[in-house]
Amino acid sequence: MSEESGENSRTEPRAQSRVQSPLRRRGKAFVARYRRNTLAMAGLVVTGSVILIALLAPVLAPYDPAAVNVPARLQGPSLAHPMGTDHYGRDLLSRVLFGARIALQVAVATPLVAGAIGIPVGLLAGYSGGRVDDALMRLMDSIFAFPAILLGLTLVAVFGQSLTNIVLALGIVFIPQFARVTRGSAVSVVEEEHVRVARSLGASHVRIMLVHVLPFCLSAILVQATVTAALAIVLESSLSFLGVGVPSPKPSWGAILRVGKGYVDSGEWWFSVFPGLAIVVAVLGFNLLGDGLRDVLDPRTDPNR
Amino acid sequence: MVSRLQAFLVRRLLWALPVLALVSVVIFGLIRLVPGDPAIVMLGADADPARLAAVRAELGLNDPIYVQYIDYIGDAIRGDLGRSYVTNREVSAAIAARLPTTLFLTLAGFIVSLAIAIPAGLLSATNRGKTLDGVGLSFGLLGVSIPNFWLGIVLLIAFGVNLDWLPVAGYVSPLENPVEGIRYLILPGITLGTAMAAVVTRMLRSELLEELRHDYLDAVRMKGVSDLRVLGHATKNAFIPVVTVIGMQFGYLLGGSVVVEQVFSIPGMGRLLLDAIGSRDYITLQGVVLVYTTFFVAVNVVVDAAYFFLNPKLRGEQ
Amino acid sequence: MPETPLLHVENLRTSFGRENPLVAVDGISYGLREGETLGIVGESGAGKSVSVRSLVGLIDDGDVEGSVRWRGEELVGASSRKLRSVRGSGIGMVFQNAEAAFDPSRTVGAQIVEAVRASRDLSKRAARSEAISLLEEVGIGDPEGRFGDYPHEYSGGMAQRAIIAMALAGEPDLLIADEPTTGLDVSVQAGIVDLFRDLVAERDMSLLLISHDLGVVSQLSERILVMYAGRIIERGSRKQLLGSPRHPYTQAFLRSVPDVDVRKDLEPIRGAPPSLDDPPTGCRFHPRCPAAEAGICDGEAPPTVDFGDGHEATCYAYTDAHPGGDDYDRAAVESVEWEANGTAAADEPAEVDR
Repeated sequence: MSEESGENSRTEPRAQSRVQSPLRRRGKAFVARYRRNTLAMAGLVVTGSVILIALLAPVLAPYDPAAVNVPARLQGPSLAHPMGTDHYGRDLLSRVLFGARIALQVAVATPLVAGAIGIPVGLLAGYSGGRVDDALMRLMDSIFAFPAILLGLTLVAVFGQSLTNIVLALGIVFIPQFARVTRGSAVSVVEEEHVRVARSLGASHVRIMLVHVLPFCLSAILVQATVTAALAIVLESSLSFLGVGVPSPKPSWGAILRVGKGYVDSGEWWFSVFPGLAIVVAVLGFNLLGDGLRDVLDPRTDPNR
Repeated sequence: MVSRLQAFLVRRLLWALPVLALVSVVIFGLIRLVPGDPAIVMLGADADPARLAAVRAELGLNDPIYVQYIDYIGDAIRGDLGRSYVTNREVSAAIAARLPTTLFLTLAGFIVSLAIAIPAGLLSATNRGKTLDGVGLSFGLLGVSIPNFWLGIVLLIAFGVNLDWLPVAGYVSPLENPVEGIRYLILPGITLGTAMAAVVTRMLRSELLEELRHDYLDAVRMKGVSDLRVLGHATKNAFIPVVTVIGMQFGYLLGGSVVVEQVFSIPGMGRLLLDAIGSRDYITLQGVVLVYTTFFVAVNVVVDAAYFFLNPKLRGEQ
Repeated sequence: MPETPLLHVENLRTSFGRENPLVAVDGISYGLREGETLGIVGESGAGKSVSVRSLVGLIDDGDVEGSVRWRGEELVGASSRKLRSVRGSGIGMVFQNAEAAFDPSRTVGAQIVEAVRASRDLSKRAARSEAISLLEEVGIGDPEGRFGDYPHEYSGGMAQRAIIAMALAGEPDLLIADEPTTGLDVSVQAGIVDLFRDLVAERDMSLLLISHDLGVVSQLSERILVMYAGRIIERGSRKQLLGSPRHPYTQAFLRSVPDVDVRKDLEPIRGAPPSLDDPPTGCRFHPRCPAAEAGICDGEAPPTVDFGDGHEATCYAYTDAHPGGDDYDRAAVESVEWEANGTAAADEPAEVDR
């Protein structure tokens, strides 16, 4: 790694190298380490595929996911319908492909919502310490005290069912995780030299938090984001399975499973197995990504690998 | 002189109570936040105005909100969680009827998860780097990636429908009929316990690996004891932090039970909850969520006490 | 006196890692007789601890080669059953401190009882009273009370005594003490040294004492081995080593260590011990050695020179190959400034009152 940076600083003009090379050096080192880590690469591949599928669903899907075709109802996997058809005759493969869109929206939006509130709270708590820290973390604990599904259920019950509301509800569920993770990193950084120097130079608290503390929390936050994404997908599909998730015509994987379960007794196994498999793949992707990132960003956290 | 344990418990309670209070306030407030008149929401817009007025009076909607809250909490402490206007049953009675079922289910999940996690964690740690470890790690990863309701459905299809070994739906109380009761709890228990097992396995493996590096184990070996005994000592110590994880996972078990009850058609609190949501029975909803959370907080306090108890440094300090 | 040594180590070699193995112990050999106290001295990282751990099979992430014979029986590669039978009742080990020796979550008493019962067939009650008497024997006041305390409740010196008690539980014939006084107060150290002396005498045990503290080693040991970078570079009796050290490293080491009885200027050894994953060629000390000769000392490993009476040093300076030859020899002896005032040249380890 240091060889690379040596080269870099020699070819770049000196004034710029003071600003660019640490970041670029870190960036290059990161990419190199990332490539070497199987977990992280696997996560990237799987998650990437899911994202691609979600984006390209209209192109990839052989049928219109909403196209009803009653004579073809409840048919098993075949060449025409690789994942079979549902009780309305709709092609399950197409529905599953479009379901990826919903899953992805949830996976991306939920960490954003949770982070938007959780990160500032965590920063504030970690930076301030003392009573503020105590009070904020107590507050976070009370949200955390709720089992995720129950909290999600209650919030959706109150807000009403729509994709936006669900993302909102799930976002609230995960606020404490982001707060904790940010606070944890913040606390260890706050004692360091550069923070004290900045404070003695009269920098405002906000500036210190954003410029000096936050960058050091980013790797932990990133890992948390992937973990949250994975959990959000599971949670959303669970809620949809229970009937309190994304409203019915939308092909959320959980919603498909909700109906599919009813046909288990009569033997239409494809109705339940394939959508579930899709969930597993998507969640696995994000989990692998998270594990891999954790390995790459801070190998010290799991010395046993 | 207050013993350390007592002091600790008091501190935990001081944490737990505000959390519970806050939770109850939030639930209470949220329900009141629902747009529209709760009475209309519950009875419908075209209900008889007299009934609407009666409901409003019953709910105390005409009182200021903090009075409503205090009334509610006061009643709740005494065990009265109100009466549902939808089902006309006392909420406490409805919950009490279903609580044991959910508890048994949660217990089943708990037992299954430890029954899997402890051997898996031990085997993984002692065979680090070898195939067995890889299996354990993959299991860990898959376990957190497979949604429990799907696992339940797949198990249903495999064992219930295709092989017909185990019942597919319903519930028999183990108190009434132990054998049948357990049969009915096997698949749900496995479904519920697997994800938690995955998390605990990972944690136990990690803690055990860390513990096995400690020097004092060499001292134990130098006494001439068997390797199994050495492992036993290490495991006991490694287990302590795992206990806290188990406590955290209990929350997952509780939440998961709602879903598993739905998959296997088990008449527990989860069904009550979902029915309440479906029929907009907010009073029942309030009560059920409150009971769930109380349980979770209580378990956390117990787990913390256990951790405190097991860790002699906390316990025996002068 | 040809006796079968109690412990016979021959060409012990311990390495870590397969591809570019780090050789921590590079072929050392020595013998230990019944009732004898042998000291192994050297800087941190010289391989002393690793070598004694290799004796009893405590190295599980490395490879141990060579021969270690305990009462004639081979320990290297022995079955775990055999090792277990030797540990505790044959060989006991005194670890460096409480963290290394005790499980923090159990009482000291329980752990000593475990040691007792592992080697002797005693009932719980008998083992308990045995443990208490052991605590008493090592000089811990109120042994009954202390029995139920946890390791973190013991002070440093007391913990060390308890560790010794635990090592004695199996009534071993050989006690291996790995840095037993490191980290302790000087006054506490003296107490531990006295304790070892008493125990060795009363129990008629052999003692293998490892330390980087030459003072401690010289007070207890009849013979001393000096280790450097995984090899034994000098060996001899106390008197020989302290009075007329031959190897430049030993001389430098003696010059760098304070001695209460002798006023001298301390000279730290310049340079640092080599990292063992890429050790110097030939004599491992040559980069730091004032007598090093290029072309000789950095080529093959140096030969062992016998100075008579069991005093040996592994160094080129005393061979014809080295230009210094005899001149160096004289200069070296003279440069050790301290006098024979009883400490340096005494036949018996002295009782030092501090």
